[in-house]
Amino acid sequence: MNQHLEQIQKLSKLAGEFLALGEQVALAAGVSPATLDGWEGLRKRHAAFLQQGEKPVLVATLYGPTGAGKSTVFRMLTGIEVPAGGSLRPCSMSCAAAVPGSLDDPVRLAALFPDSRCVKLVRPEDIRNSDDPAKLLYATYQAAHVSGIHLVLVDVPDFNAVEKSNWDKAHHMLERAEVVLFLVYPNAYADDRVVEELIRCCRKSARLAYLITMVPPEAGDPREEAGKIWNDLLKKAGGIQGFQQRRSTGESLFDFLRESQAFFSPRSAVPALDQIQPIDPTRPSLLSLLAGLEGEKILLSGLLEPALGAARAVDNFLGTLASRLETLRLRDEATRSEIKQWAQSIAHHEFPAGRLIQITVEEAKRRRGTFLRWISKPFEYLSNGGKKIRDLADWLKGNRGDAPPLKEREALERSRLHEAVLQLPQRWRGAWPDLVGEEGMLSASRCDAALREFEKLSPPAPGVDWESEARKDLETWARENKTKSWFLATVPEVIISASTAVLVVDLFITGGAFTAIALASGVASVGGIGLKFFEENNLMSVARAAQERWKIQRAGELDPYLNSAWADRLLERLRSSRALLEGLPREKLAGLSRQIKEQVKEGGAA
Amino acid sequence: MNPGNLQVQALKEKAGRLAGFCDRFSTWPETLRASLRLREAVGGIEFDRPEIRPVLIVFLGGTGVGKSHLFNLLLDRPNASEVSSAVRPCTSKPKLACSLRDRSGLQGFLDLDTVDLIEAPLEGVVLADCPDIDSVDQANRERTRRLVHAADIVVYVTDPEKRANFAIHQEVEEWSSRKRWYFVLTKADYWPKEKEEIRADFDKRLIELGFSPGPRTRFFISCLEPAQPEFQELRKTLLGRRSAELRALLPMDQFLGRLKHALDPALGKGIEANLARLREVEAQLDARLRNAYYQALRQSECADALKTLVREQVWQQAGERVGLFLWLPIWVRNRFAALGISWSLGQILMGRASLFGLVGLGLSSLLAMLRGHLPYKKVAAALGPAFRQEVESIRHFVRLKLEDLKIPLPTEEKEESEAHAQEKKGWGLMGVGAAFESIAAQFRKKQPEDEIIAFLRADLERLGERAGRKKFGPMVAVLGNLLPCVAVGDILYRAASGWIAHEYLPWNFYGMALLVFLGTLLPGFLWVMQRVWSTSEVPDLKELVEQVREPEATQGLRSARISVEELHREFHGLLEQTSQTRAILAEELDSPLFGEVSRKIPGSV
Ligand SMILES: Nc1nc2c(ncn2[C@@H]2O[C@H](COP(=O)(O)OP(=O)(O)OP(=O)(O)O)[C@@H](O)[C@H]2O)c(=O)[nH]1
Ligand SMILES: Nc1nc2c(ncn2[C@@H]2O[C@H](COP(=O)(O)OP(=O)(O)OP(=O)(O)O)[C@@H](O)[C@H]2O)c(=O)[nH]1
Ligand SMILES: [Mg+2]
Ligand SMILES: [Mg+2]
Repeated sequence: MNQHLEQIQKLSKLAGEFLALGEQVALAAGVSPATLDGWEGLRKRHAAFLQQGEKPVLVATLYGPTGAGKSTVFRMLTGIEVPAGGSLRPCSMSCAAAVPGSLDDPVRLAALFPDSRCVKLVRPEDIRNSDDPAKLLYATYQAAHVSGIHLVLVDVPDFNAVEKSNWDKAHHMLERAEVVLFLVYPNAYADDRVVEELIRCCRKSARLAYLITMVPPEAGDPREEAGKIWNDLLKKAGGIQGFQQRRSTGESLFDFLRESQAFFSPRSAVPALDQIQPIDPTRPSLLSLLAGLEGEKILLSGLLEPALGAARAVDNFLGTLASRLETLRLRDEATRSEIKQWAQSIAHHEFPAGRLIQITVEEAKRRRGTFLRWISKPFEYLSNGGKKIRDLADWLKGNRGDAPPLKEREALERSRLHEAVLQLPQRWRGAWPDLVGEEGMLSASRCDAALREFEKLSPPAPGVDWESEARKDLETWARENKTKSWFLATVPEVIISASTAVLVVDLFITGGAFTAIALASGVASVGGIGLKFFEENNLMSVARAAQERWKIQRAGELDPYLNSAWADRLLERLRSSRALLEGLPREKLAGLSRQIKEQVKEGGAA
Repeated sequence: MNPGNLQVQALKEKAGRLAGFCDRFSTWPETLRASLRLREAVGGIEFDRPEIRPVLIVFLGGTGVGKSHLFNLLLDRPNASEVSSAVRPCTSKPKLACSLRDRSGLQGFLDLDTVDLIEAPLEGVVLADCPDIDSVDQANRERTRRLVHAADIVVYVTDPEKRANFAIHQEVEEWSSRKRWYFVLTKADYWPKEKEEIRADFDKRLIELGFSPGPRTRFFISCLEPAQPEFQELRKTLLGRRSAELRALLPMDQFLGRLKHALDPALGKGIEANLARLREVEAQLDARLRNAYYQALRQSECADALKTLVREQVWQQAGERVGLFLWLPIWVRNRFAALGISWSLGQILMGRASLFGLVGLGLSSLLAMLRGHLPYKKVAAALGPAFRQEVESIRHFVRLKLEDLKIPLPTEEKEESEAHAQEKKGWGLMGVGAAFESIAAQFRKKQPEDEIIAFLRADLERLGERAGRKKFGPMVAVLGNLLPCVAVGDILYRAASGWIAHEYLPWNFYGMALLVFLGTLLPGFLWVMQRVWSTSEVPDLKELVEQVREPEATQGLRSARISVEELHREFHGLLEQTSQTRAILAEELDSPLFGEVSRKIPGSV
């Protein structure tokens, strides 16, 4: 006896921790823990165990399809006049409990039935009333012969009639009750639903008894008929997959069923308790079975089964959680890397070559002596003239300063960013069809909302780091190529006038798009002249280095911008649930589940 | 020839068409199911020789309710079908009782290898004892379903214990709209006291299932007491003689039942919900597009272009209204203006491809002039990049939304999106040939703003006309032409009088006269010009954009909406016709010998 109690206490301690952590993890992951098999059973029986008094309290429930005679047998066993009979199907709509007189205390009962609302049964008709699914009507009864334990008997509604709300009530009580008396009438034993529920009982209960009611006497000896039914049931069960599951002791559900005691009662106009007889006449009667229930052993077994179920369910749940997290992780990484690629590709194709020429010329000018400055005056004049022509062209085009047109690079960048935020979600939708649909993360409306928010913002202005690096390069270059740099210092005005001429023509004809194309296509020149300029002065390596630096720098600016201004909003669900799942104590829960399983093994052996 | 054949033919056609419509939306589970069911209804019924076809009556019920026992009693053959009091399920292969004569009529619609045939002295009736539908033996259920599928009349047999079982109810409900029904409650002998209460409770369940049970179709019997009147009534009802004419209507009734089953109201609701979504999104996006137009037209560049266009219209009006001599300089001016516009337009249009700008310039002016709304292109071109981006976003939204609603993209839309993707590759990467191709494509392709151009044009013409009428009354015509008239009069007078007097004037007189004439045109022309430039009318942009009712950018949504509307119409049309025909048929078959039909709309709770 004490050995059982010791095991129960160990398991109970573990279970408390396990339940608390499991609930936290499951809820955080958006799963109701009650959907995990065994969870409710463990929770209810564990909570009830903590409330046990000097005598163990066992709950035995009647369980079976509508019309099996649960309420009739309950009346016979307890003398409580619950409604029963054939005129209504289903008949009982609430659970009814018969409690020993010493438990007639609402507070104590509430603790023993953690999720039920215990109400004293005053009018038996109330059982026909289905207003509150959590309602448990109770009355006291005289438990004859039962000693050493408190036995609470429960009558539940059916699980197979059209009033589907009844099913859950039966299920809830099954999670709580350690002992199940499964009732069927002969026509029902092979029903799909009934066998399904029998499997459930074999998995959840600590002890099971099977009662075949209303065996027709006219067909022959009822005991023989019942025996046929019982054997046929065992034969069928042997071939049904569900019965191959294992209990905590290692035996299969089929074995458990076979070991369970089977009873029958012949159909009679006046059903009576003594008509219920064991199919095997050498086995004890139903009453002595109930009287002989060993309290601690059954309490232990009643905890072991749901604990094993819950531990397995939690393992499964953690498994799906891990694969869910893996999916989230993969997707998150994929989105980030694609955004990065876009940022790079945008940065690649918008190198501001004109700006580089400007810098080069500026640098050259800075290093030019007075004499040269004097010589180049006329050219400077010319180039200023060129600028005037450009202004004139602008004026002719109607840009009168009220809305300064975006610089070409910026306009190009904006349109490319726009393209990115249009195309990226489309790609992702193709890759992950589960995110498509009106409710999906990548639904049209959400994509559009993110896009519109994004469009309201402006990309960050490029930093000047690449420029200062380029200036440094130019300086080094000038030191190494004295003559060339001297020559260069003399020609900038020529260059400027020449490229301005190109610009002017271009502006007149095309509105300046030509230059934009040249910049966009990465030629790094103004109408080809700039390119020549770099080539002929051995400056190509400087230009290349500058371009490389620009690419890296601008991509480094656009990538976080795309993420913060757009992707974080669109992919909010993905990114936040990844973070959430990563933060859950999954390892710890898995450890507890392992411990529970070990404890179950130890307890099963006891 | 069956009298209902024409009717059936019409329904078959309609159903076939609806199935076709459903196939377009095969991405929706409801329509896919409807399509399958419709095809099954259309293809599954033999109408060929209804006169030799017996009525097939099958038993449907849970295991152990007494189907086989009842079957044996009706046939008066205790061992026709095996009965068991303990082991369940008992019957596993359907038993069919029929006369030799009726057997041939069965072959058309039943696979006789899957059943046991029992010869019985029945006339025009085939009675079938089926396996159960609620035991662990799933194969039994399938066998029964096959037979029920072929049956004309189903007898739902149950006993007081199983009368409220969910699984059985579900099966009955699944078939309820397709079949004609009887209801039999057995084992009355067990419940002598509660019999009437049980009967009432059973009736309540039947009503929940959509039936209206009455003494002609619902029986509470005991197989132990076959002499009881209710049992005799049942026997008479099931095995009674049915006239060949009425029997011949049964295939049609079945066909209608299957159609009704295919036209599940849940599907109707699904279609309606999608339709509502489509309409909502369409209206929302149309409004957004109109707003984009409005915002774009309001910006200064567009407003300038519009002003110019109005003036241009007024210029056109001026030529017609002022008339006479002033017409000439105005005409010349208008020709030059057209040339100028085409030039600047070319710039704007070709702005994206400057390498080919010059070529494009000529090409664009030519093509646009051919299209006849050259100046309006200028406005269109001035709509700006923000507008174009918005249009692109809307297009994109439409594509994704259709995908969200699982509506396949219309084919043109798809092609266009591919073409779009190609264009995106950019000019820099393309060869010269490809670039030319692309320019040409730009002209072949309908521009999004083309739709507003038509309205804009009509608006501007109206405005121009109004302004023209106001600015150029008869007064302007008279005063403006006064000077040239005097000059011409004077010149003509001199020339004429010279000719009459045979004093031919020197050639330089004509040259001078021409110059003087032109000179006298100038004040009038300047005046007209002043009046044109003082025109300040601009089109009401709000009104203008409101006219864009079916923008091209949301075309995908619209065509999806239209085809869902079509589906909706077809669905309800067929449903109505089926219900009507069925109601007529129900009147014909209204006899205790043909059971009752469910009045419930399947799927409703
Ligand atoms: N237990 C039992 N009931 C019998 C027997 N013979 C007839 N019955 C009748 O079978 C019916 C069983 O009804 P209930 O006890 O209400 O059945 P239940 O399982 O409580 O049904 P629900 O409350 O609907 O789930 C009653 O009408 C009994 O009178 C018998 O030998 N044993
Ligand atoms: N008391 C009584 N028993 C009946 C009645 N009808 C059938 N039974 C018995 O109910 C039992 C089952 O009857 P079956 O005819 O085998 O039932 P079934 O519906 O064919 O069952 P399956 O073949 O398993 O689907 C048999 O023992 C029958 O004698 C009845 O009206 N009253
Ligand atoms: Mg009951
Ligand atoms: Mg049978």
